[in-house]
This record gives sequence, C-alpha cells and structure tokens, in this order.
Amino acid sequence: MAFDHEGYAQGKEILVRAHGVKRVYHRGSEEVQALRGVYLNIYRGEYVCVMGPSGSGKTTFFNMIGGLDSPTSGRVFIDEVDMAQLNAHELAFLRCRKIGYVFQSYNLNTVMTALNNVMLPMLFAGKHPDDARSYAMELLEKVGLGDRWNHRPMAMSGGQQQRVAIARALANRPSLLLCDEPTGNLDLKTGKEIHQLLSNLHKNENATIICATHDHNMLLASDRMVWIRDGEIDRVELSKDVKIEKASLGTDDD
Amino acid sequence: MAQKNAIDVRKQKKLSLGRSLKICLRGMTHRLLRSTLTLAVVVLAVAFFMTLLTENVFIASIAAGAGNEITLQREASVTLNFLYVAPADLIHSKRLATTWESSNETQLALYAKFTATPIEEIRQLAKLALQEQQYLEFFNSLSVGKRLILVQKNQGRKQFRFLINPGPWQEFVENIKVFKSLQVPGGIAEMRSFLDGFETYTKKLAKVTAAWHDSIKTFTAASEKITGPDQIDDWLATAKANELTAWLKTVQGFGFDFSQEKLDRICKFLKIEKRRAEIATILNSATKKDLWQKTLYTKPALDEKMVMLTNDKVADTILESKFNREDLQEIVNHIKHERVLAQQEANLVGKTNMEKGELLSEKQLFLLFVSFLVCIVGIANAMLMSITERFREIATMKCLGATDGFILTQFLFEAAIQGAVGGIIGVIIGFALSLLKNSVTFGSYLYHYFPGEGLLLCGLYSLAAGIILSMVASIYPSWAASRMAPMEAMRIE
Ligand SMILES: Nc1ncnc2c1ncn2[C@@H]1O[C@H](COP(=O)(O)OP(=O)(O)OP(=O)(O)O)[C@@H](O)[C@H]1O
Ligand SMILES: [Mg+2]
Repeated sequence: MAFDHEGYAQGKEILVRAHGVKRVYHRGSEEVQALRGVYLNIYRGEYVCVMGPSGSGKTTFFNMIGGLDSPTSGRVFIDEVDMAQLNAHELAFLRCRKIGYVFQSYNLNTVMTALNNVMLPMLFAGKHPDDARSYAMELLEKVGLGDRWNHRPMAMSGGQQQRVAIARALANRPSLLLCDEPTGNLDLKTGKEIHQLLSNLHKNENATIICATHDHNMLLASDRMVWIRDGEIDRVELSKDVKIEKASLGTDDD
Repeated sequence: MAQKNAIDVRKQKKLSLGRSLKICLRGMTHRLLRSTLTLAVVVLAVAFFMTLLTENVFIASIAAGAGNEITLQREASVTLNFLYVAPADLIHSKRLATTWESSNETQLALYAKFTATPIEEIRQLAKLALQEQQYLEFFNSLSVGKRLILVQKNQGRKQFRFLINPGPWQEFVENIKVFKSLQVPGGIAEMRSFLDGFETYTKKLAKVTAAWHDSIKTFTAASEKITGPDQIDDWLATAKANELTAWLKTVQGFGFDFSQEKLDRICKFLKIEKRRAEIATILNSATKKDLWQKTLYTKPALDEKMVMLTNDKVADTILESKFNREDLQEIVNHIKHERVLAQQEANLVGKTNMEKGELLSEKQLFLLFVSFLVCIVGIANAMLMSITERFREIATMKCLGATDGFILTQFLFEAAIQGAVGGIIGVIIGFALSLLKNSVTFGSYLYHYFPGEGLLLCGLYSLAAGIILSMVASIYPSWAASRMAPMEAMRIE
C-alpha cells in the first residue's frame, strides 16, 4: 500500500509516514474529499516530487504532513511521532524546528528586511538575536543574497524573494523541507535557480525535500515522483526509471 | 510499529515580552499607515474625551478666577465696614459668636488688640456671645403663639431681661415642659446660669464696643476727618499717596492684614465708582437728560449708555469735556469687566463639577460611555478587517513557529501603540477644539486663568483612555488572529 519499490526502502530510515490519511472539507452542505486515504513513506535524505493536476490534493497533503492541519481520519507520523498526539505548543515547536516551509507565493513579511525575515524563525526558537543574525547572514550568503540582506521583499525580484524564503525555511536546520510549487510564480530562468538551490541542498547536505512541482528539471533531480489524482496516490515512480521517458512528460522547455 | 520518540518534541518556547515588542516595532510605521482607519477612530474618540474633560477644567478654573476677582472687589467694602462702622452691642455679639464658632484665633487676637482687652476676656465673651446668639435663634424659630406663652411679647434682648425675673422664669420652665418637643440649646440649667451672668456679660460687651469706638476714633484721627464708611470711601478715592501710607501704617499697627496692594486695589475701585456716580448724576440731571436721550435713547440701561460715551462726539456734547478720555475709558473698561464677571458667574452656575470633586457630570459620563461603545465597535471592526487582510502573514508566522500567545501579544502591542499614537494626536486635536470653543465663550479670561496643570492631567487621562480603549477593542480581533489556522499560509488566491 505504501507504494514502495522493490529494494528501494532497504536501509533507509522513514522520516514521514502517512497512514490512510483522509481529509474532507465541508463547503456549505457539500462535502469535498480532498484526500481519500493516502499511504506513503518518505525516507530521510530523500528528494520527492509530488505531482498531480490542479485540485488533486497536493496542498492538502502538504498541510497534513507539515503539521498545518489535521486529517479527518488516518495518521501522520514524523520520525515515528504521531502528530495527532501533539498539543498546540508542541506543534508550534515542530513547525519551528523540524519542518521548513517554502510557499508558492513566498509569504515573506513585507515590512521586514530579508535578514529579519530569515531571523524570525530563529527568534521563535529562542535563539539569541546575535547568533540568529550571524547564522541568517550565513544562510543568505548560501542562497546568494549576502549583499542584499538589508533589502525589503518589495525591492527584490520573485526569484530573490523565493531564495530568501528558502533561507528562512532552513533557519532552524529542519529535518524536512516542504515546498508547495516553489517555482509556480517564477519564470523559467529564476525557476531554474531555485531548482538548482534545492537540488544542491539535497546533494550536499542530504536534506529531505518534498516538493510539489510541474517543473521537469526538478523531477529529473528528484529520487522519486509521487503522482496524486483525485485525492489518492495514483503511482509512485523512481526518477531513474522515468528519465528515459523525458519526452512523455509533455514539457517542451529547455 | 512501536512508538519511538526519534525527534525530541518539546513545547515551543515562549518569547519574552521585550522580544515580542521588538518584532512588533519593526515596520510599525508601515503598520500605522495601513491601519489609518483604526487610528482615525482612536483619534476621534480621544479628541472627544479630551474636549469633554477640558471643558470642565476650563470652567472650573475660570469660575475660581472670576470668583476670586469678585471677592477681591467686595473685599473693599467689607473691610472698610469692619473698620469704620461702630456697631451696637448686639452686632458685636454676632461677630464674636461667629469668630468663636469658627475658632478663628487670629481674629480673636485682633479683636483683643483692637479693643485693648485681654485675650482671655475676649474668649469668655465670645463663648457667651455664641450662647446668646443660639438662644436668640431659638426664640426666633418659635412660632408666634409659643413665644407669646414663653416670653410674652418680648423680642431680642428683652426676652432675656424678661426671663431674669423669678416669676417669668418659673413660668418659662413650666411652659417648656408643656411643649414636649421644645429643646432649649444646652438645656434649661445652662440657660439659667447664662441668665445669671447676663448683666455682667452685657456690661463687658458694652465695654468692648466702647473700646472699638475708641479705636475707630484713632483711625479717624489718622485719616483726618473720616467718621464713617461713606467718608472713608470718598477719602480713599481722593487721598494723596503719603496720606494713604500713613493710614495703612495705622491699620497695620492694629494688626490688620492689609497690604499696599490691597489698598491700591481698593483705591482704584473706589475712584472708578466715584467717577461713575458723577457721570450718572450728570446724565440724570434735568438739563442733560433731554440731550442724551436724543442721542442714546435706544439704550435703556445707564451702564450701557456709559459704554457708548466712549464715542467722542457724544461724550463731548454731553459731558462738556469734564472728564478726560482716559478716565472715561477706564470707567468703561471697568463696566465691561464687571459685566463679563457677572456673565461668567451666570455661565458657571451649576457647571462647576470640579468643585464637587467630579470631573464629569452624569450626562457627560453617559455621552462618553456611548461614544466609547461606538469606538470599541469601530476599532474592533477595523482591526478585524486588517486581520483578514493579513491572514497570510499571520498563518506564515505560525508556520515559522509562532505560538498563539505570540500572535496575540503582537496584536495587542500593535493596538497599544496605535492607541498611544492616535491618543496623542487626539489629545492635541481635542485640546485645540476645546481651546477654540472656550475662547469664544470666555474670551481673554481663558488665558488669564489658564489651567495648565489640570489640562496636562486631562491629556494624560485621555491618552490612557485611548490606549485602553484601543486594547480592549482589539482583544477579540487579536484572539481571532491568534486562532487562525496555519494552513492558510499555503493557500493562494
Ligand atoms: N480550505 C478548503 N476548503 C474547502 N475545500 C478545499 C479547501 N482547500 C482545498 N479544498 C478543496 O480540496 C481539493 C484539493 O485542493 P488542493 O488545494 O489540495 O489541490 P492542489 O492539488 O493543491 O491544487 P493546485 O495544483 O491548484 O494547487 C480541491 O477540490 C479544493 O477545492
Ligand atoms: Mg496547491
């Protein structure tokens, strides 16, 4: 049921485990089954791309595994901790330290400088402002914005904003990086920058990344691809198997 | 699978208030501009509160000032009366009684000095005088019928003299019992002993009165031929400076609290009054009446006509240049001043809540309550709007690890800062409005009796009200913000 491929899970440690996750939204008297029972294991150090048509439930799934919403039924474990067992403060702790979020629309605080944006999660984690500042500078340099730390989001391009957002997501060295269409609002060139940044993180620092995307460059860099359709996992493929079918993805860029 | 706690999940740390405030202050200017609506509501509320508060402070201060001025003016005649009217025994008795009742030691000492009597004797006399006044009051308060039965037809001191005789006293005592509800002040026995000493008391009082007369004579000698209050008025109005100084020395020699300044004020007042009387006589003289009724006939009151005299032509024709222009102007100013004072007094009747220790009347409190209610609803509404605008920001903060408490304090801080900024602007606007309004009503009096300290207090109260109002109004919106689901951050519209 967990769509594990022969031998793929061998010797790998499960980081996220979704077990029969269902989510029903009530829109007036109408019921929307956003997730109809998702079973999936995500392993430590993995780069997973999640795909599916619009409205298939990708964002809903991310909300479940990111501790942003709770399932109607089923369970989500992070490092074998049942999220349903956590209280509000523990969830805040989890979101702060264990998970980094990269949003499609950046979601930077517009009144703060890039540096302050990156510092914010560290301050929430109780880090001393001086330590937070120096590490935030380090992160900004890593995403290539060392000289722009004092700019506000308004004064930056979309790609730069998204890079600040990635730096912010990395602030507390999370175990898991959740990216919901991080290049959705970017042009191809800047999208490529972000993709490069994420795959470098994956390669060099062995970060666990779950990424909803349609960008085939990203798909190629990932370990596995998860296809969601109508709130269910349609299929899971190893990227190395798909590579040959590059043309079949129907993307015509590059 | 066994539940293995691989991640050490702890409770999220609470940020200190200082850190929260720092985070809130970042981009505060930005926020303030964004929430102009909330700010405007706070400004309006505080300005309204400020005008209400300051109005009363202004009124109270002006009332005190006007009252003071009026007292100063009346002081002249009162003091002179005290010095120059040689009163009868009974009036002395009344004076002594009131000084004794109010236990005014300096007044008693003054009395002793003025009448060259030992202070002990004055004390004794004052005590008896109070008793006498109380008995007289008691008798006067009786209905005619009862008094007829008790002390026959007598009135005043004759009542005591009547009672001193043994027969009437017995009857009096018997009859008092008939009217069960009647209570002689201090009891029958005390009255009897008062009556026993009555003759000596009256003699002593007469002696004091005589001594008073003697002292007045000394005054008269010191200021030439003054014998009564009418004459001293005239004399003070016309006396030369050195004569006045000599007179002042005599007065002070008797221990009176009479300063040069006070004397000057009295002299000026009397001088003006005298001229005013002269002009009035001219205006009312048979020959002039015709003339000035032709010119000024529309104005009925004498004072009004005098004000009109400042018109050159009129003054010249009517007064035949008997008064120079400065004199006339001074009198007219005085009349105007008096009128303003009178008007002020009338304005202030029933308005001086401050004197009763209240800052606001009940009606104002009600107004304030209603306006605060409206403001709270307005601010809460504006805050809710700004929160829905910022829901993504709030949700993102939660994704980054902000606790509900942190979001709550952020919004409350923001509300407090907004309240403070709006409050300061409101205080300034309210103060300006109140100043404008009251300067129309009170004119230059406003600046004359400017209640700086009171206004400062009002400003502080209003500011505090603004902050509290804004915070109270944002309790619900802040709570709503703190409850916002973090998943909102993922949504795109
Ligand atoms: N808060 C909500 N209330 C009601 N229905 C919702 C809510 N969020 C999502 N849905 C519904 O759940 C379904 C899945 O939505 P979801 O946002 O997860 O899709 P998605 O795969 O992320 O789509 P997209 O590619 O457009 O972002 C959709 O039908 C959507 O209308
Ligand atoms: Mg989505």
